[in-house]
Amino acid sequence: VRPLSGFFGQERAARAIKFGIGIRQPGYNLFVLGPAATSGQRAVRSFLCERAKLEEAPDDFIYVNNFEDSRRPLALRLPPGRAHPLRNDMAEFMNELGVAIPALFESEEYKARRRAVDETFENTQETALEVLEEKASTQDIAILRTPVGFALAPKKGGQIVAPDDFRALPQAERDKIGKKVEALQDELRTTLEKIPNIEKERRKQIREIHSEMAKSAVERAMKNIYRNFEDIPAVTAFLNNAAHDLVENVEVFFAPVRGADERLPTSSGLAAQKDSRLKRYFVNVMVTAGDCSKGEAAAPVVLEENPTLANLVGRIEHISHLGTLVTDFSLIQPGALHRSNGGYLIIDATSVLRQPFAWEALKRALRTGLIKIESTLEQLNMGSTITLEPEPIPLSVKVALVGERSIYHLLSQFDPDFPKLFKVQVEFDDEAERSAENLALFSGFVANVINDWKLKHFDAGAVARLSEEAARIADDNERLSLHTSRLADLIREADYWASDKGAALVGREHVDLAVAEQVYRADRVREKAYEAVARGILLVDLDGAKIGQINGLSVLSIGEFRFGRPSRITARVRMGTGKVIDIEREVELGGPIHSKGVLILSSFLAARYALDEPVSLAASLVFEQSYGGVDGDSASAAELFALISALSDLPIGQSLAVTGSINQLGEIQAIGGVNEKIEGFFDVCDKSGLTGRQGVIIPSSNLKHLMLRRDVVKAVSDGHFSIYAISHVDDGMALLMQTAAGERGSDGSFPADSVNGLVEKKLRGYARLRRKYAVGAAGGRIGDDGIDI
Amino acid sequence: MPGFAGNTPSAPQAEGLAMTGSTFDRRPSQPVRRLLIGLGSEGAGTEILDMATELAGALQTEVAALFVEEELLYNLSELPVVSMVSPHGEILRRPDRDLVSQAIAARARACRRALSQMAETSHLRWSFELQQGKAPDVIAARVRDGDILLIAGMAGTITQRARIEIAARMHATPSANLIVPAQLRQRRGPVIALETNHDHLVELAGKIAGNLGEELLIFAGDGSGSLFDAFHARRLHVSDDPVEVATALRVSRPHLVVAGRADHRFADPAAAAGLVQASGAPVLLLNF
Repeated sequence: VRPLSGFFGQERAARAIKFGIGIRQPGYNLFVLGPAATSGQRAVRSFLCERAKLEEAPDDFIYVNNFEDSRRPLALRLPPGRAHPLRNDMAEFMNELGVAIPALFESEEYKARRRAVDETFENTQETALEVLEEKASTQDIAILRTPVGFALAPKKGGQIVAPDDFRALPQAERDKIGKKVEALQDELRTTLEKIPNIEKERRKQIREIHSEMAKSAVERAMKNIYRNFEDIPAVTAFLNNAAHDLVENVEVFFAPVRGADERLPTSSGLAAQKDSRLKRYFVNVMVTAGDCSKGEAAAPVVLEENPTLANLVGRIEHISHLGTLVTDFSLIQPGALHRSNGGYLIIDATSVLRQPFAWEALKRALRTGLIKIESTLEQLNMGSTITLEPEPIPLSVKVALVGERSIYHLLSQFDPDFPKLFKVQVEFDDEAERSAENLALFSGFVANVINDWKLKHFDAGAVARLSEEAARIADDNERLSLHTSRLADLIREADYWASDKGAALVGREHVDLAVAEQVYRADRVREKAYEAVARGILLVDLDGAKIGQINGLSVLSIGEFRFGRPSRITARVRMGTGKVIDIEREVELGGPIHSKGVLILSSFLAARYALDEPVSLAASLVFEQSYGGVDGDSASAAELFALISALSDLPIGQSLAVTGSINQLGEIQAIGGVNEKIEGFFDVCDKSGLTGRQGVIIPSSNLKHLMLRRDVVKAVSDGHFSIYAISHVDDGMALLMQTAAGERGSDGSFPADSVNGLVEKKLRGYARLRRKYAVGAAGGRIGDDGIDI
Repeated sequence: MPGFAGNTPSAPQAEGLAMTGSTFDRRPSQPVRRLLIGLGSEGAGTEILDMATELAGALQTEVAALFVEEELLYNLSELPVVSMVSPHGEILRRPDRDLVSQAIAARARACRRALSQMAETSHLRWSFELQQGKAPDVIAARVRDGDILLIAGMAGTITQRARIEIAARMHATPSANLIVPAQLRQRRGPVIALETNHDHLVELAGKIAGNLGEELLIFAGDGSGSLFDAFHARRLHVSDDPVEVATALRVSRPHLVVAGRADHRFADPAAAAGLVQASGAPVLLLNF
């Protein structure tokens, strides 16, 4: 059997996906919906992967430092597969410079030029002060350096004049000295003011030497990178900026590289990368294609399992430096949108809606066609650390959201952006026709699972048994369930049991065992329920006949496990005003659909019998020993039969159970869970011992849904158990009460001994009685039972 | 050579020196006991203290600082015509005695702190003393035989040249050895011995070079012998001409220059200052 390519039985979904992928206009993203969507996710992925292989790899994107504003890193687009070579080249280049530039500045040429400048300016400063000192000295003024600044003071004979000696001088002399000090003070001030400018000029000249020497080294080392990337103007511009910045800041190479004792000639430039001062010349690869030269590149297909805001749009990481969180462009991390850019992104709709800000960010990215990295803290206005505003990256991606139908409808109704952004509805069906063609495809699906999980091979019987189970899950013998994940579970479990039994191939018996074990693992509640019937705790008669009592069937679900259980339904009637009391409803244990069923059967009764009389019936219906909720209308036929039995006083055979809903015309309609219901009653009967009289009455329209267990089928074929299909309520009466239903004759009346005749007779009797009481009431009489009639 | 023998890998034991037939002065010299930093009120920056502790470490000797509060500065505050200008050219109010005192005390504290940190980092014994008076007189009075004296931060000088000259004038003191500091110092470079026919000088220079991990470079004059080849040193023939010496020093970019205090090239303070500036390194003048 050839493995299945894609998926089967999903023609509508396949066409929708094909359309969604093919149309390149904005907004044509996909929403994959349906209960089978979880399995559909894998199918969509597989479909998209096949498609992606045929498409060209998208461009690479990198972030580089913005030398003009490092808070706004620049995004560069490169042809596919060029990002890593650029990153490696830059790392190599920085390693080379890490060796070349310190060597350059150790050279005699540099030392000589540097020393010349230092000496020139040192002499300039010193000379200016020496000249002033000399001048002051000739005027008998000393210039002294003190801890609080420069002092100008009179001196005599090379010594500072003592205060007493100074005071002894004539006033004229002192004034003269004062004027000299004042004049020199101005000169000193002017000289000192020039010194910072001199120092500034010295630094400028040294910087010029540095730049001049570094420029040639940088240009030399960068030559190869320029040549390798000359076809990409954006890279050339980045290289120009980096080279210019390196020349301007060549001093970063003077101190030893921190964290790197050796400058290893590694292609990744690890040594230089460890130094935070050199990081800004590196390249942060956000997304790159595979190796195009090996033909590995294709459009990306990304499945994001955890679509948080950061996982979608990327994030900016921080590192702790001296107790503060800092960041730079090299700490920008890509998100799923980056990785899937130019390809396909699959996201679970529920997951993305659950994550704060993620849904809005996804929509914003799709609407604007840009990936803008935002942090959750920023969204909450709680970010207090220095962060970045990276240049947004152009986005071209096809998003496939996978979710339940209810989510699709909710989004369609309440999110005005949703229909504009997810225009392609990909609806996965729950089941497919059980045709020969689909069975062949189903075999391919089984082969897929076997290959994917490296399981034992399955023989034809096992595959056939799996297809039966697929039909059973679909509740339809003409359909195959497309809940592939559930089927895949069964395939894996059958493989396990085959291994457990030491079989080389997986056979039908192993699939049977896998199903049985699945049931057994989930069977505790069912077993207890059946045990309760067998022990007489749950009262269900399986033989004999009772008036106004019938075995109804209900289905209980525990996770994916469902089972049927018989319930005793009883009806009681008396004269009244035409009201059928649904006790379940009265105590709020009955759901609306159940109530609807009861109202329909009331209507049927009213429309069928004693049309010329007012309905003078008071009836009550109840699911005995039911303490949980009851809903659905699949018991409405059973309830009607119980009522009719009560009205006709004809007993109902208790060896039969009934399921089916009725309409106002008395037709029996299809119900769900028919297999579980039949099997439930069968199991209960089997526990007590099959009598051969037991069986289940089902709607005829459910016949095509029968996919019964093999033991049930065998019991039926052996005549130990029966399944009766009816299409009208009259068919059921005959079976259950062993009396003909009776048709209305030309005189308008039913045969007197027929079921219908007896019911009508009872109802007429009630009507008469009611009239009698009504007459009495007019005379102020009250009925014997105390009820105001 | 007591005090130095066997301490440097580049210097052989004194007993092993081939002294016979040499013309060298073999008078026994005083062993180095301590490195004394004479600090004027200006104090000293970390560069000078760093250089001092490095040299003390190379010589494995104690480092002592003598901080002198200049009387001169206190007198200045009492002179009515004194004018004050900040290093940035701003006119300051005339300082009173308290302000001067506080500034000097702060400078002394800073020097003490810096010295203690550096000395302890280098595992050196150290001391710090505060005195008041005229700095040259106080320092000269404290110098003992076997000291290496380093003068720094002398008040009353405003230029490097003037400071070097003052240091050079300390020839007049009875100190055994003297360091003339340089403003710009090379972090790495050879230790240069200016040959004076004293094996003690070369041996000490060799010890310092060995402990600093630097090359020993000997400037040999016209009349020098070949004995110093035994020191694994590089030898450069340089004449006695001060100009040629200055040029050779400038090109060599030394870390330290070791010369004899009696070297005629350092006899004149101005000439000594010129040589220090040319070398760009401190000069250790040894007394013989």
